[in-house]
Amino acid sequence: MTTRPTPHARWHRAASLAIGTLAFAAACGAELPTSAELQGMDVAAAEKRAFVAAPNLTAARYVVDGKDVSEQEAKAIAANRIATIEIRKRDRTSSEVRITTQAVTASGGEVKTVRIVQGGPLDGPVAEKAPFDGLLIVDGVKTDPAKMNSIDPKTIVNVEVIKGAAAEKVYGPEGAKGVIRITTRK
Amino acid sequence: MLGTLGTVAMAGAVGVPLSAAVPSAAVPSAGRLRQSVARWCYGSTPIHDLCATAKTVGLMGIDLLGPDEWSVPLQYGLECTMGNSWGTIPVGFNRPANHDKLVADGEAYIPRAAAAGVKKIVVFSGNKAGMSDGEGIANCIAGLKRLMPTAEQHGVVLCMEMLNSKVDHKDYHADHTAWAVEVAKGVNSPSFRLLYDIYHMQVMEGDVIATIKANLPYIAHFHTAGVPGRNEIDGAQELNYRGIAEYIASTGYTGVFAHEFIPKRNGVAALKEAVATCTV
Repeated sequence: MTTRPTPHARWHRAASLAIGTLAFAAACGAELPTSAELQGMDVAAAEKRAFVAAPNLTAARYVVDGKDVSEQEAKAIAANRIATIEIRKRDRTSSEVRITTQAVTASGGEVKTVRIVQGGPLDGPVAEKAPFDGLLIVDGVKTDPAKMNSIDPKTIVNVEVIKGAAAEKVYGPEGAKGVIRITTRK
Repeated sequence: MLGTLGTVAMAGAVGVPLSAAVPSAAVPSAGRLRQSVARWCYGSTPIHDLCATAKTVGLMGIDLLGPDEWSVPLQYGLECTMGNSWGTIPVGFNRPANHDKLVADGEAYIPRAAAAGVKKIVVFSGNKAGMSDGEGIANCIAGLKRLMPTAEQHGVVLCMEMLNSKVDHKDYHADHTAWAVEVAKGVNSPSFRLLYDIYHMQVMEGDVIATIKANLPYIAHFHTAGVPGRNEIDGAQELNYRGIAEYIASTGYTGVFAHEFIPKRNGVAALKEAVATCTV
């Protein structure tokens, strides 16, 4: 005799699957089933819904020289015409590939710049990353970016990045924004 | 340079870690030379571990510490034998354009060092960048003289280090003893002396003992390392460190003799061996 799952057990299976679906869908920004829908859903329906909710993760907007083009058009550009490629990603579902082209050079040309910007806005300029304004320490001496720039990189023997509580413990409140500690040879 | 930081090997590409086990039976140096060790050569070793090891192998101090570590050797009965500079090697006293900043920063830094018990601070000439030797000497004298009242008042000696410009510090100006001695003569203060780095000067000019003999009144500190390679001062390199140490001790030199080599093998064993070699 086979034991049919009780209505409660069926609801429990459906709910646990649906919670996983919700988490996934939330991450993807997809349309979510309502709690009322969940109540009435059986396992098969929840699985179907999860499948439907899964977005096309590969969809991207292609912009060539400032104009929207299809994926096929973008991919058809000869590599030696490409000057820069910039990939902007906000999350799993929305990304943008910006390509600028140049005239074919005598040398055949090559991709000079590839930028991948994650988490930036899709429209408008990508915000410049804020410069490091934590503590710079060279050979134990507090220093400034200008002085740090004067160091011959070949003389650097050690670079430490100290963050969080560890930085504050050693350097006090000054270390709150992080510490870059460089040791050079003499 | 910040932009290139990501490519720099993190945590001690050169600063060799000391081995974890510290030998307990080492006999402290009973020789005439007061021996110390440069901190940067063990860049990835915590300062407390380095101090504990230094004490065990018979060293009396730690060389080239920054303000953040000045007080640590005292906890181990050691001294900070040389404070790091507040400036950098390529940007130094040979250019008047650097003087105002170097002097202002030095005026603040020297009293802090003195208060922490640090009696010597290394300073640098800067790079030539096309400047003549005569001009560089005159500029160094003028800039350093401005700091002498503060240094003298606090009993701190600024030590200009001679470095080689062939291997490690291309275009560095104070790359010969004679050049630096001219600066010392011109500054003419008990608070200015030279740091004679035996490794760097062997690379540039050799004739180590004769050069020390001729210029000892201007020298207040020594550094060691094997030539070539800047590693252990053992029999695998060209300098006879026992003979050099013997000569320096025979002069009645009372300053510090600091080991500044990058050990290729075990850091503790290398230090023990170096101390033994120079215990004369």
